[in-house]
Amino acid sequence: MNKREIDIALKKIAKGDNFAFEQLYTETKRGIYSFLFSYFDNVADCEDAMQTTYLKIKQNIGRYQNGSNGLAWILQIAKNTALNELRAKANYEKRQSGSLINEAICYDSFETKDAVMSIMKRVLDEEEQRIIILHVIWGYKHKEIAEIINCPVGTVTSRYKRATDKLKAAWKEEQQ
Amino acid sequence: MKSWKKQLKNEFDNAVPALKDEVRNAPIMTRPENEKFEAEKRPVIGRRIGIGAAFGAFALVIAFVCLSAFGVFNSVTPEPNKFVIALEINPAVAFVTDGNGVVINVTALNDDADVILSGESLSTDMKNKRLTEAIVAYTDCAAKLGYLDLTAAKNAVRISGSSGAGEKLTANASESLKNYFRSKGIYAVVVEDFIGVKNLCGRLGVNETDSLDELTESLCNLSELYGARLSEDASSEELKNLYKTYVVGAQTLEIVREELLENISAVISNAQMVQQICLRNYEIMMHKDNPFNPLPVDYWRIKKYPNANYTSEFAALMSETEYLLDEYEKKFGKAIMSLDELKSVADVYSSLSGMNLEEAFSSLSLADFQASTKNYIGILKNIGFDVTALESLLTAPVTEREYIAQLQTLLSELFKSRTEQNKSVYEQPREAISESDYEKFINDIKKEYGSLEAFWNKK
Repeated sequence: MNKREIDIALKKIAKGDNFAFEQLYTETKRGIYSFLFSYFDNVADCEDAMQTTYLKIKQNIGRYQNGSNGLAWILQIAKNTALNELRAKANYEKRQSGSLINEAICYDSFETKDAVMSIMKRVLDEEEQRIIILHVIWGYKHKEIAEIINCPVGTVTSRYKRATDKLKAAWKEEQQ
Repeated sequence: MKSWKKQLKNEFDNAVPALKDEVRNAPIMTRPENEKFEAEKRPVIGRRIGIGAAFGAFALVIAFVCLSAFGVFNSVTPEPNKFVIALEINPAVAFVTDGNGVVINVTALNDDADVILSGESLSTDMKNKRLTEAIVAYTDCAAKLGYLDLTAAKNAVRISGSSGAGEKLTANASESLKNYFRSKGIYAVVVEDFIGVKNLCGRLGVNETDSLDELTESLCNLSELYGARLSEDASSEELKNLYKTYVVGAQTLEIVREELLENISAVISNAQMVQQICLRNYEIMMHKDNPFNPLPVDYWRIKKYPNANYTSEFAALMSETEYLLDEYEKKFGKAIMSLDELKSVADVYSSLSGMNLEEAFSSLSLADFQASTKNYIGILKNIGFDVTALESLLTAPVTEREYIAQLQTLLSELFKSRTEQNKSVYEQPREAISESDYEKFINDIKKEYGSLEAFWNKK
């Protein structure tokens, strides 16, 4: 789904079209999930944020301005959701510190799951993960990524290069 | 070894959770309440008539199906007399042709295509030409503006037409594009895609229909520019939003940034001279020998009194300032005639105080640019650029007409700027690609990606 198609889908959703919503989910789920992935260190939180993001799209569609960048709008919702959940989690953990509850929580860590995803978590920092995801999964150009994460194009290019070098090396090692 | 990118995509595909029912079934909070419940507002009698009409329509459909089954309508399917062809390079455009393949309408499908269609007389020239020629003219313009990477080993464009009678036309256009690429030495794949009218509507972003006639009609009724279509019936809030996204957005930032970086030495020299003049003038205003002391009178007002007596130290300061002002005028073609004028040329640097200008421009974010657009355009003005067009973008539009006028100004600036930027690459002579080399290139792509479509999807 390109940016124009996303804009069209959002317009339809704004008119109450649930089918368009499902279509938007199908077409953007991988991108949104991978974007959220860079914020969390476990599957459960990432999945929760994913559901919340799409729920918020339904709840806030009335605020979407036709003609603005729909994809950026969705990514902004995803980002805010991730940050809110992280904040809430931090507060919760602060409240529970010292108790045994923390130890009882069994996170389904990304480490145990898939190869490249876990390599990403291991060798890249959050920003590098986001750059890789926005470029590889979403197909954004470095210039566009710079606008999304609000940093210079040169920085995106150099961080992308550094991140791919690290990933390639780790992936090669994994394959051997 | 499997590519890590492919592997990553696969892993994410497998990891994505299904949409929960509570999200799927959650209500959509739509904005226009009055439109949403329009059906409920209808009086009972209206609903009854509606139900009656629905039964009537159903009976008609049954009758139509029965008659069709007996072949009654077999002879009434006319050959379409218009065709629709979409060309996607990245700037995407839709052509409507008559039955003979002559272009009668061109519509931009995204903002990049707006830039191409804004150039010279391309849009008018393409109309009344055969599709095979128009499509090459459009692609050549895209190459000239840098939308096709002429230095890349692999490019791809997709040409889509509705399946059926228009296929031959699309295939001819595709052949003509391939010949263009070969003759220009551009390694580019032309992906042909014949799809149903309904799918074509989706690709073109117009209301869905199964009728080619309806599709051509709706395309012909659309504004040619994508940006203009977005502003149709926009509220003042939406206009503001569009203005921010498209008029003083990323594209304007690119134009201004390119010019600033390309003329960085002139900008640095301008900033240094403005700073020196400011310092000298400040010294004059505060100097104990200023003839108007204790009033802090500036250089220009003192100059209005030629008979004033200066001490030798103060006279040296005055002539040093005069020399600097002369040099400034010689270098940048504009005289600074008063303290107010000095303030206006100095103010443009206010947000850049103490910064390395080249770094500041390279890392200029959209938000910072939008916060000080006037200043950045002002810097260009300081170094002698004609910024009349860019300055006309500074005031947010109130009406749709004002917005479209600004959009057209911006598009024509983008056209100029991109033509200039890509001139050397575009004009660089390239050897034509032989038929066999081109065929080998296509086969290699097929081998590597499985099919041309797969390559297009990857791009």
